[in-house]
Amino acid sequence: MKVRARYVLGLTAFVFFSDCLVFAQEKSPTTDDSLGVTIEGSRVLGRTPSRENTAATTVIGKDRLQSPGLTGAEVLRTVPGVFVTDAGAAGGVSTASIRGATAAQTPIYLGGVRINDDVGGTADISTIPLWLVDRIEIYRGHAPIQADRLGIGGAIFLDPQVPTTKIGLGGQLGSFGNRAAWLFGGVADHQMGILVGMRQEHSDNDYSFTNDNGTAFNPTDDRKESRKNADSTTSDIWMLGRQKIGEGTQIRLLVNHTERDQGVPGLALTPSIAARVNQRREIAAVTAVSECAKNNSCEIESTTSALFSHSNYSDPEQELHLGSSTAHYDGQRVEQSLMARVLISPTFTLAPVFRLAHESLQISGPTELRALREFARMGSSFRWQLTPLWSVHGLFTGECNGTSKATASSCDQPIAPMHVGVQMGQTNRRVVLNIGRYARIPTLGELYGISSSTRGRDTLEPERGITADLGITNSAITKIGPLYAEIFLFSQWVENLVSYERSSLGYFRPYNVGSTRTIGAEATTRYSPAQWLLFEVTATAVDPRDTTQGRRLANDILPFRSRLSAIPRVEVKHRWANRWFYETRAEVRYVYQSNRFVDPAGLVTIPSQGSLDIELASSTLSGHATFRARVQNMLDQSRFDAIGYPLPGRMIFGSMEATFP
Amino acid sequence: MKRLGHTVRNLVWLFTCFGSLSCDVEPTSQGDPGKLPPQTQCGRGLVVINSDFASTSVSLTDIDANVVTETLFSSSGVSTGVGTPLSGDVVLPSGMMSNDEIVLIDRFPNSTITWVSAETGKAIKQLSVSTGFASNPQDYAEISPTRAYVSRLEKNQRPGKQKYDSGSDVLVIDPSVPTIVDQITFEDDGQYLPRPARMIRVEGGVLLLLQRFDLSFSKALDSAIVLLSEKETKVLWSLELTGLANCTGLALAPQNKRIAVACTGVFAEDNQLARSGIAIVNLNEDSSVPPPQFMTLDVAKTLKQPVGPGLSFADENNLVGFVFGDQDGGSNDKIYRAEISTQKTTELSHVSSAFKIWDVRCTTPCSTLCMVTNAEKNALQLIDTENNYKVVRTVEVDTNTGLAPRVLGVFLDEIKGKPALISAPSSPQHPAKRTTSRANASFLQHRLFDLCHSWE
Repeated sequence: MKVRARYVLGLTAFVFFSDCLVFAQEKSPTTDDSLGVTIEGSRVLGRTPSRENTAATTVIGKDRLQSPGLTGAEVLRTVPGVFVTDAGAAGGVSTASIRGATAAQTPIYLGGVRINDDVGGTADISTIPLWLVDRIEIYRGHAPIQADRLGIGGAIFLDPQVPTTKIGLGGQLGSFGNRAAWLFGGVADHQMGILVGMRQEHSDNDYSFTNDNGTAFNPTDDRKESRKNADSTTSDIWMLGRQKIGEGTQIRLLVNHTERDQGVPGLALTPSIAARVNQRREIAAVTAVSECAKNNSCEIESTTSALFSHSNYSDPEQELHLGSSTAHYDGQRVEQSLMARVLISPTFTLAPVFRLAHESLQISGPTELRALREFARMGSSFRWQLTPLWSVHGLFTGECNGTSKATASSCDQPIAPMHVGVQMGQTNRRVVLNIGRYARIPTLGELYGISSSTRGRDTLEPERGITADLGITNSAITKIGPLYAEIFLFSQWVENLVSYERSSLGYFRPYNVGSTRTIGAEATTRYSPAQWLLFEVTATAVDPRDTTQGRRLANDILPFRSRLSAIPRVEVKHRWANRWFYETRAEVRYVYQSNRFVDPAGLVTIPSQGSLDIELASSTLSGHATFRARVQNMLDQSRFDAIGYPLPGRMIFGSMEATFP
Repeated sequence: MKRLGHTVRNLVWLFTCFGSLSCDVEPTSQGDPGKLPPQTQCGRGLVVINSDFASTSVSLTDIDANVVTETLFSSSGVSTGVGTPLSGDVVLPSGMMSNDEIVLIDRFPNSTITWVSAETGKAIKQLSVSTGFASNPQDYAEISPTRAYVSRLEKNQRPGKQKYDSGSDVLVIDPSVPTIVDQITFEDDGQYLPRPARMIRVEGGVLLLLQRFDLSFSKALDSAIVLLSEKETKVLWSLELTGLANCTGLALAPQNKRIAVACTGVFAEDNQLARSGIAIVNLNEDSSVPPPQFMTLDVAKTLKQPVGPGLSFADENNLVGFVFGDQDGGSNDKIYRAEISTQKTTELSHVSSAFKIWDVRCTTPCSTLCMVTNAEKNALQLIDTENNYKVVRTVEVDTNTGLAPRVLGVFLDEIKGKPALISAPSSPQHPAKRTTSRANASFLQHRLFDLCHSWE
């Protein structure tokens, strides 16, 4: 056994040091400047995360978020370690999980406000508005201190754009009745800035699929059908602001209202006809950042945020089996956080945080229910630069969660997530080792929720887990061009996993079940032979196992996780410096996922599948007008992530946007 | 060291996966079917449906619950995206399955009937009974090789788009093709639907349970039994089970003149136990004449838990069934014996949680056993009726997949040209000997169905 372990260590060392030899004649890579202009080497390096740079992180910039018809699910599907379960085209419910965690374990933040939790009613990433998002940061290993849920599934942050002086409008047309229009305008100077925008998008989503009529052994009754009652209309309004107050203080404002009215199509085999849902979400957040000492040695950030969500189901023919013809879910969260960044010494930085939140969930219709949760956290992260090469970072917190259907108590579920990491090297060449202990309190929905197919269980215990990852990153600018390689090996152990069992009454109820162990690897390689050309391959191999003691099923591979995903991508980007041909960007990528089980017993599989996507963007009039086109699933391959919810085949989208100045 | 070994193994897998790009998962294979057991007067053996509600496997045992084939058939396969080869919600006919063909009723969402060869484990034919909506078929009763009934629970909210698509009905099918040939509909008052559920053949017709729930399953009228004509699409008589609701279990006594109906009561009602119990109905000699009354066994009130659907006659006077536990109330599923003559209910066994027991089937007099599906133990529990109804052993059925047994049925040998099989049991107490005088071979064939089903 020792010999094998030695081989593994030896192999790791060989990979790292041979990599170094290849890049022996390197130049110092450059990074993005403040204006975001791409210069040599930076596209290969990738963007640096803003919150925590020692974790396994992927950052997706604005230029990859503006393609027409792009959904949050399609964006996250290209990220190593992220597993997406998509239940339809635009507007269909989508969930994301990281490194084999469950979707509920992966919090998603919009402007610092968590949007995919019990208050929102679902971990639905299809409600992510991408059009005014500046960047997405995906923390795959452990979440930074800015996250209020330090779950085992990392965290996803969507950062809105910074207000600048500009005005713009655009429109989009696409397959299956997709159409969208948007308008935004902003004014800004060095003291203040405000950006207001609104957008509306509609899709009929009447794409066709092959209906086997439930008779897999009788192909004679198979037929082509169109998806019914899957239309979706989404409107969202943004207001982003910033204001400097005196020296060293800045106020940031985020207001977002999103409303979606859509059909609830149900299973393809037994589609609903009349069931609809109207969802609204309001987010407001005010952040004040103030220097508390000169020389940037101390900074205090205070954020007050509120989220209100409403889901109103109308089911006149009771196709959703909600137990009534209408159902209303209202959630709210009010949160106050206070965080400081203190440079204790030139080599030691401390970031203490204090956070309070109040959540409530109210359900009416099939039953009357009100659930409350009080949340408090004190903790701190630190970074200690031991030597120019070695640094240690960590995060220690104590949390209280008081949850009840009546009056929430103050601290009935204390947990103490933490992690420690060691980094050797710098961002572009480093070895990182992270070990963390995490816990997740069940969501209010898991505890008390009621839907068409689920009932909560108020006796659920928190999930607890341990994660470890080892990452090696290397990059260099060589004679043949800039190269970047990153590999992370990770492992996760989760106890008291919240899983679902179906009762004999036909609905699913969550319960704590044993344990899981996941081991995997993520790799990213980028190569840029010319300044305008970038090759990238990301791949994830994961082996998620159910390790519950006394487990009866012969199969132990967890369902809904492809054990291999690979995404090769080619990006061409060139600025012509010509009034009529100002800048062109094109991207071709193929998203491959190996087959996966859909049931715990390991009997039914979703076949391996892929999607060839092509994006093209060209700006003219010195960059004031941009035309974009995107073809999704160019090869028209059959795709689905969940049984009963076929995904659309080939889709074509086109958009035009004009901005001034 | 073991954990380290697993870790090293997984690391090796990771490198192999990355290197060869072959990380596909392999579904659990079905394995080779075992040799079918010999025919008895109670059939060849038991069919066991194992399920975790996400996928399903089918196992065969002999009449004493000795495993013949662990995984004869299953959900195993590649999904088309719309459905799975076999969903996680599959039941078996209340009556017996003939010609060594296992009839699988795939309820939701597939709404299909699948005939599987007990000998080869292959699907022989398949019929969708959805007619355009989630019809949720509940039972299958074969009357002849070209006529069978399929009861459908759900009503189509938008009928009229294809033939026979009204729902909450009984479809008449020709299993030899297979195809839908006709339909038996029932009146509804707009608020409460007929909701046909389990069926069983008796002399002169097919007995059908009507659940009579509303659209949302939150309210229900008292359940009813109706007798359907075997030859025509008409109801011969109906009997309202006054004071009993949500009746979902149906069992025929050994002498074929008595049925027991298990009624759970309405879960959404505050006092669910008030309309939960067992109805004992004595059929008339002339089955075309409705029975005048019925007797109620207050099993639910005695055990203070609602009666579950699994119910079987151990003999003419004794029933074995189970009551539901309550996940919120902390009570567990319990197996009981109910003595009809004394109206005495005795708890025989229990599990440690709720909703773990699903079905009960007794195979007396071919054996002295009653089998109970116990998902907690992932096994059949065998109760010996001659050993004071004690649990004598447990049998793990499908260790190949590890799925828990949920539903039980009985299958028969090929009938063609083998009327001798319809012989009286050697046991002098065997009630089936009365059926041997019947002259019509076809009828005998189906009497055997009923006879053996009566020991479900």
